[in-house]
Amino acid sequence: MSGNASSQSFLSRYVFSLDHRVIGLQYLFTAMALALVGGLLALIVRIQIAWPDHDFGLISALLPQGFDEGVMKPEFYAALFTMHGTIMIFFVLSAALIGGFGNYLIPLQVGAKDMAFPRLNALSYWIYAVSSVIMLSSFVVPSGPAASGWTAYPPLSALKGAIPGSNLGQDLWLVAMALFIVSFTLGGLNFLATILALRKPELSMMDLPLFTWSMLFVAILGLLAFPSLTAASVMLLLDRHAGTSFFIPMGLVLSGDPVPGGGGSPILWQHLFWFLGHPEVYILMLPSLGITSDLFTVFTGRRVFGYRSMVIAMALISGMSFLVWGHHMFVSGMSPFLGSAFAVTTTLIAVPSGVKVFNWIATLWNRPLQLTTPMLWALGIFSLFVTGGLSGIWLGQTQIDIQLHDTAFVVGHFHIIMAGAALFGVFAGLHYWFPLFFGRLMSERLGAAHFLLTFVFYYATFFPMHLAGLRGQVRRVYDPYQYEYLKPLQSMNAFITWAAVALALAQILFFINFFWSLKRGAPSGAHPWAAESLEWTEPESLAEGV
Amino acid sequence: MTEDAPRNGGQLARVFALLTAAFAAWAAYALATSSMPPLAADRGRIDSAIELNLIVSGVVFLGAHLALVLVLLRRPREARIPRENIRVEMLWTALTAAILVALLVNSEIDARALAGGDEGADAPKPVVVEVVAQQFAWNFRLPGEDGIFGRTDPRLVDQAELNFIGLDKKDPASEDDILLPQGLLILPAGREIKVRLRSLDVIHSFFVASFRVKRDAMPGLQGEFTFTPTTPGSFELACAEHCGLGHYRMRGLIEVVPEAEWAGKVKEATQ
Ligand SMILES: [Cu+2]
Repeated sequence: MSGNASSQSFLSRYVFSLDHRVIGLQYLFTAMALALVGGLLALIVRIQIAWPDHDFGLISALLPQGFDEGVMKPEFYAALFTMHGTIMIFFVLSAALIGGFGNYLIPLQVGAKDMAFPRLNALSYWIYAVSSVIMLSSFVVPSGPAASGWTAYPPLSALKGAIPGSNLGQDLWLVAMALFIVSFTLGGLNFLATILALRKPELSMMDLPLFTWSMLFVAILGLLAFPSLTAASVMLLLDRHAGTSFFIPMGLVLSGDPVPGGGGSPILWQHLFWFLGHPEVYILMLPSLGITSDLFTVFTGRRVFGYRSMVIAMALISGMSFLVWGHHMFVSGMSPFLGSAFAVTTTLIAVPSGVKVFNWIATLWNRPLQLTTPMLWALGIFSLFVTGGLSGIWLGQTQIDIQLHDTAFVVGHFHIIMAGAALFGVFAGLHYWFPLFFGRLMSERLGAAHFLLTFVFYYATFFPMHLAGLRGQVRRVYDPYQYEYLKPLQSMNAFITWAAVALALAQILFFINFFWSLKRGAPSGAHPWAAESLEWTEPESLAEGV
Repeated sequence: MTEDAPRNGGQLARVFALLTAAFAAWAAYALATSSMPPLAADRGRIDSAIELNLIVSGVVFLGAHLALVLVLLRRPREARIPRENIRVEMLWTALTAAILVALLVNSEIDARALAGGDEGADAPKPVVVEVVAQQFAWNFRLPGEDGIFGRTDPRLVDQAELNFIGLDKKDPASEDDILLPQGLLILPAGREIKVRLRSLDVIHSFFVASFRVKRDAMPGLQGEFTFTPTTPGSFELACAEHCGLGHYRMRGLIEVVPEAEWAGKVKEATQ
């Protein structure tokens, strides 16, 4: 590292650093803190679904505006699931996998000294940090945070009278999202420039780790898909404050009063949103797929089977992810021909995904495996990718989607494939690169215990949701048992909630392991795994015991 | 560190394999014995499609997890598998694609059939119902004897007068329109129902689990879809799209009665 460490102040070294490694860790630690918030929100949501008339006691004292004598208000419930989804998808998982691992590792894996534009890189972190603060600040707004779901469908998100969260909270949500996207696109530019222009000349693209490949595709997806939500956010802000009607049709009546303006279309928002939203799903998936393949290479001791077809599969998944967004709108009344087209693309995107699974099996088959903690997480991703991929095929068929759209089945599906695979990818990466980051090893014993408990309780939480969805349980309901036909599902929902509590408790093991190993972990040496990618083999890149 | 890492065939691998096998068996059993609300409309195709997918994906799911368990349990010999094999890779790509295309074709056939609309000319005319969603209630209207819905105008909405949909009473066509009480729809069994669906305010979604019917009520647009309820009984209508703080209680009731009793029941309900 350039410069004399002792002459640099703490601020310039750890806070306003331009070093990609420090910036990567800043992303990781910020995401970790926000994960606690997002996770807590999920637990409160789960408790409410299982026991709707529950007295929240202590929690209601912490967040008094959301409760009425200990009982949750329905508008607060909506704010909780809205903020949970938004925080987890964008501010935790995207930030950790891409901002965290991407920043730290891309320069090392391509043999560059730093990112192509270090200042821009620091700027993207700080915009992300500011957008997180704006997003969280909506919890102290009197009318509460945004409550129109992470998808923010207008008119619910456009009309201030539609739900209390559609006041200042929704504005903060839109501003925070727009800023987040700015940060993400700046980061993406940097990733592209670094991988394509700063790669060591003797390193061919076909020698790159699949993680770096995934980052290349993620950067392209982000650059091409995310701006549509920036545009949509600005349009929605204008609808809300400047009297435009991009998303508000003519002749609406809200609680008996006519809504002024009109001439727009709420479905326009859905197209713009999902044009970002679906590639975003793959933005979360691809890094985990890359990490899994790379870890299989390291811990089977042989290069992943079909490296070339793995790259092609990632390219196809990325390209096709731009053409599937309409499958979120099968029951919106879209033309059946359009529906058919989206069903074709959605089903066919499973082909390259299937290829990845087969290649993984061939990689693992009849090989001595080293079941280190990162390898366990990678095997967990294998399982989640199969399970969640299959339920995705169900939902890609329009006739099945009629019944399962907007039910708990969908919630189970995307928590397994998108959230689960991404979360397991974060854990795989943290355990694997911990020695690189901090010069120490995490405890393998605690790591294995944490993995096994998480694996079991993750499925125990999210798999039964498919069953509830098949029985017609709609999602985002404050009290499902208003419906007679859902009353028998209370015990299943209670089971899910207990499993979610156990899942949350299991995460304590991770935090103990992480912070204990930071101080007391066994020194890792320069080469803790038998890995051959550049971040381990180039002496320059080794951690200096931060 | 990597030298003394646990191996496949070892204790950790056995625990992981056991948990994987237990999960896979439980998941397959739970899905195979799972149920849907009893079917009460002519849309059994959806149930058959779900059963077909259950079998296909069940095989893949169990196969992949069996592979994982075997990988974990077997003490490996030196692999003879090369790192690339275009032939094999082409083969399983083609296999995956073939299964998916078959499911896709099945789904297209079903989608066409469920969209309906090509019955013979001699089929009886469908019963037309207008459904108007609002925060947080369902309004139902039948066109009456003239078969024509009277004009509505959002400016005429008057909740105090119970004119929730803004019916223009000066329009002659509106005279015989039948406005059912909010949240209650009465339908004849065995007749095709054509729903005209719209929303006054935000997006709602018309979902009757027993009918296998779901359609968003999109403000500014009128949706149209058909189904035929087959079994008399009462069925709950749920709002499936998050529409505000009362989304969870936006419940409606659909009473399906034998066709002969239908007109009488409707009259009874509107008095
Ligand atoms: Cu509704």
